[in-house]
Amino acid sequence: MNTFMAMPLKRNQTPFWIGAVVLVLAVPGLLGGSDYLIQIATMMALYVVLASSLNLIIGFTGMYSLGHGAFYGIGAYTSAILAINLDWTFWVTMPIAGILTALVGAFLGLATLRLRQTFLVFGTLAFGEIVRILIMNWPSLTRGPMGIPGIPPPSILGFELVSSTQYYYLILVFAILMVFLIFRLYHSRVGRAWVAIREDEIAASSMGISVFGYKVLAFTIACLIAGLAGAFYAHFITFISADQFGMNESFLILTMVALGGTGSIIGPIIGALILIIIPEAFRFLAEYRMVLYGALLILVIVVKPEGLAGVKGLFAPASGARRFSFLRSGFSAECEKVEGAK
Amino acid sequence: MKKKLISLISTVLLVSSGFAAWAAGTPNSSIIHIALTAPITGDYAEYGNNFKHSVEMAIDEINANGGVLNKKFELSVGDSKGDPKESAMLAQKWTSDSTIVAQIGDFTSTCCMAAQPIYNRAGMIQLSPTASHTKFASGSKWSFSVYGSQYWEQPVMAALAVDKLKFKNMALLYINNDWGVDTQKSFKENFEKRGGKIVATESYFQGETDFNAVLTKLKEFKPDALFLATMYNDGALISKQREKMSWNLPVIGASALYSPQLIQLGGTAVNGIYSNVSFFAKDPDPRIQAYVSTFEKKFGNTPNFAAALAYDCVYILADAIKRAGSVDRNAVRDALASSKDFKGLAGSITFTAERNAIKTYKPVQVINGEFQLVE
Amino acid sequence: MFLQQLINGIAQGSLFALIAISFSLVWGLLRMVNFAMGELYMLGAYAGWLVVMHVTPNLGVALFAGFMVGWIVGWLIEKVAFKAMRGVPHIASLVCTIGFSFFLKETASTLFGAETKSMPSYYSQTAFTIAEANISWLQVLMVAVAIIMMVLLQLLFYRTKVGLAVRAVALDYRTASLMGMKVDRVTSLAFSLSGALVGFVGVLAAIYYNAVNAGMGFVPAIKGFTAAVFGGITSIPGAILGGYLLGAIENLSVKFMSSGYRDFVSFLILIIFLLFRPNGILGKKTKL
Repeated sequence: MNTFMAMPLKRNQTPFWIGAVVLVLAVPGLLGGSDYLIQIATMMALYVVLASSLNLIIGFTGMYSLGHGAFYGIGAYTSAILAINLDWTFWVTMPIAGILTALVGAFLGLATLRLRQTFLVFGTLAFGEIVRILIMNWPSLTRGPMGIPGIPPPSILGFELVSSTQYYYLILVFAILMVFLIFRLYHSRVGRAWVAIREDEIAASSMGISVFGYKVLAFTIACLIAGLAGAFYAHFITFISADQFGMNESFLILTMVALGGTGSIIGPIIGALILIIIPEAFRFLAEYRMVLYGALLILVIVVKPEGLAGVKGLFAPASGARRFSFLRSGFSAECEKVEGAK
Repeated sequence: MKKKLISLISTVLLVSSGFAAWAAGTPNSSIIHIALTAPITGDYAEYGNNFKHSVEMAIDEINANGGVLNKKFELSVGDSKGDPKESAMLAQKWTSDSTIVAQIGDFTSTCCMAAQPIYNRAGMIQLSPTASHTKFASGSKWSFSVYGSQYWEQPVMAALAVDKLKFKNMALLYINNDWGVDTQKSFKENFEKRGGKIVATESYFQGETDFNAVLTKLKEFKPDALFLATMYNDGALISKQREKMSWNLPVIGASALYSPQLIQLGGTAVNGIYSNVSFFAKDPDPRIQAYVSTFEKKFGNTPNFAAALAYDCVYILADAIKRAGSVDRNAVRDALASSKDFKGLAGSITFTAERNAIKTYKPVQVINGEFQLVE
Repeated sequence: MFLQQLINGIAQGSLFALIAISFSLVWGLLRMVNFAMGELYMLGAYAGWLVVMHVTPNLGVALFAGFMVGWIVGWLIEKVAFKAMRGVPHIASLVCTIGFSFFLKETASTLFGAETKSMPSYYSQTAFTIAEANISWLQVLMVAVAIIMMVLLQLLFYRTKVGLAVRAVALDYRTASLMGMKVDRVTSLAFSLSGALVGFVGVLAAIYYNAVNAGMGFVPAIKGFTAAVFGGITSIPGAILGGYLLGAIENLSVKFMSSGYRDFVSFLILIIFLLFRPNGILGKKTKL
């Protein structure tokens, strides 16, 4: 294995981050106040959070999850149900949604993380479908297929945040906080343990790292963040239904992480930005839009299998040498892969 | 690092300014710009393309006849993929464009309802051909539905089932989405009010193709007849599988079964099925005949209920603009809300206080591979 | 009616079983899941439909067309999503197959039109009637075909040199290669075969349900996948057993509870199996 293929972010990157933050803060101004473009920017910020949280699972600890859309949905539904049935404010329902999602995630993690990583693909996929079916079949709580309309937007000191720009800033602050949290986690003792597990589980456990514990921790934190994101989404879109959190959603988030590059901080951010902008930018293609979307996805992944941010050491010292591994016999690389899977 | 930072910032600036320029439209006083949101791709592409064809056809006709208020219609089409997120995104796109007068769409209720707050905030007409969710049109003063609620459709079906066909015990099979649940509930209510009894109710999820299990289960209850709250493609599949298990019983179903596709897909299995229509392709009305023959010539298939409803949307909008005498969003909305006995292809349209169209439905039956009105 | 549900389940189970074999084949060699499996199924169905509508009503030709289309597209997917991406994290291949799934589905939808196509019935007459339960010739044919396919595959794997090579590569890449086997060719062959099988099932399903559309593959692919894990993804008889059991359980669950929970039951079984018997019913015991 190419060790630490994505050990990112040396200290001298701080100006970059400050610049990026200033830039995103100025986005509404740059976009000339167009609500449509701000809506796109808002969705980008939301998916940056979702992709970054999934990256905790995939990129940091080397596990797979195909049920992230379900955790996002649990958060959205929890917050919406509490806000509507009990009339609680967003600032109470949002953390509860996060905590509940984290609990569900911890439970699922405790149950399935002992499995070999690839079996986790099946488990999380099935879990995602179960959540969707439960939402559909539990009308007394979730209103089933009718969805939940009229979710109140959040308010700050009595002001309801209804305009797109206001909501953009709200989600932006949330996104920056979450990315920062993940960034700090990555550089903490916990983060180093995660990377150690990803690179070599046996070595990590022989160094005294509780592999299982750290995996569950990563899974739980990722679910917590996804649940929070779900709450933000529910109060932003104000109408939620089960079809918004299905398998396609999980696939979309997974694709963002893979396309941007797993294991780095910037990777999922880039992935989220690109996969939100592409379908919008391709609108002029009408019915060929999704054909080209699929083709482009294949192309990008084939050309840059480590993801866009994994190349040329732009943001992370990457294993550029691997890009053309398929031009070699391809066999030695294959052996590495098999070993990596174990 | 600095270099990268500068290049990144300049890229973002460039992209965003490009987008800003792209999004801003220029007002033009000689056109009426309207938007259509429809699932052109994805699982509902069939319906979305029907919308698109019909709306384009209606606009071409109106423009050929001199337009409205001496202005020509211009259409922007947005593909929502049947994804509520995208529908909301498109709503922002349309409402950001000051030239757009009104929006037609979306197909599914969930898409419409995700976009609704945005149209409401911006003050733009959201005229949906097919949204049937009970909370849709009542949710905002800018939302209209020409679908007609189950409130008018199911009493007709229940009357047909009880009074004419003398069914006493019926089984229900519905698709588990907002439309299916509503349809099924409403039929059940009306049927039971008239003294009928529902002996079994089963559902399935979008995308299911195997109905053998549910049909076998329903058969055990020995109902007199089966009610289908399904779209026509599922309805045809269900009928075929029912025929194969040689379970012969009368079938009636919601107006969504009405489509030439039902007969193409279902063949002999759909013979005898009762449904009901607000739009009937064989109606002798010359307007309907002209529409059907043009549609068939252009797109090679007979229009179904969804296509006709989308067509009506354009005309009722044109009518409202004419009556409002301007393209001011508020004036057009008020004129639209006060539409009375507007003669559409799918029956006349009058909006209730909650902006649902009041519709009349006529029962039809498939006889020898063709839909015919039931006297 | 219990018997009728069982028969329905077994007929549907044949479809699941054949899809499950395909997942097993890919899994066995590459330890990878192909998420475009549903689209291969759909393409096979379209191929069968085109043949029946425009070439010949011969069912055998239609099935063969589905098989060939599945083979070719499967081969292509292997080349792009797997062979070209050796040595990079699994997730890249996984996402590449998701890309293929999008691409193939939308291409079919634009090429053939989004509306559901009608497929004529074959052998739909009742073959037997046992205690009020009807079995059609098509259902008999489906079960027979599934069993024949299984026997053929077992023969291929355990009686031929090619099969030996596939098993050797599945067991240990490196050693197989050192022994002079053409690992790439074996992998490509098995992958194409898995695609061909799914394409073949697509035609069967199109005939069984009389309908073809671009979105038809999604649900069966998920079910086939569940069946594969259920029976033991590392073994072909396991995948077959999983398919039949899943078909039976799904159909019988409808008998005993609301049909809304039909899928719920299968996914719950999947999770329970993953927790307590991750290698499935017949799967080999491997280290977790």
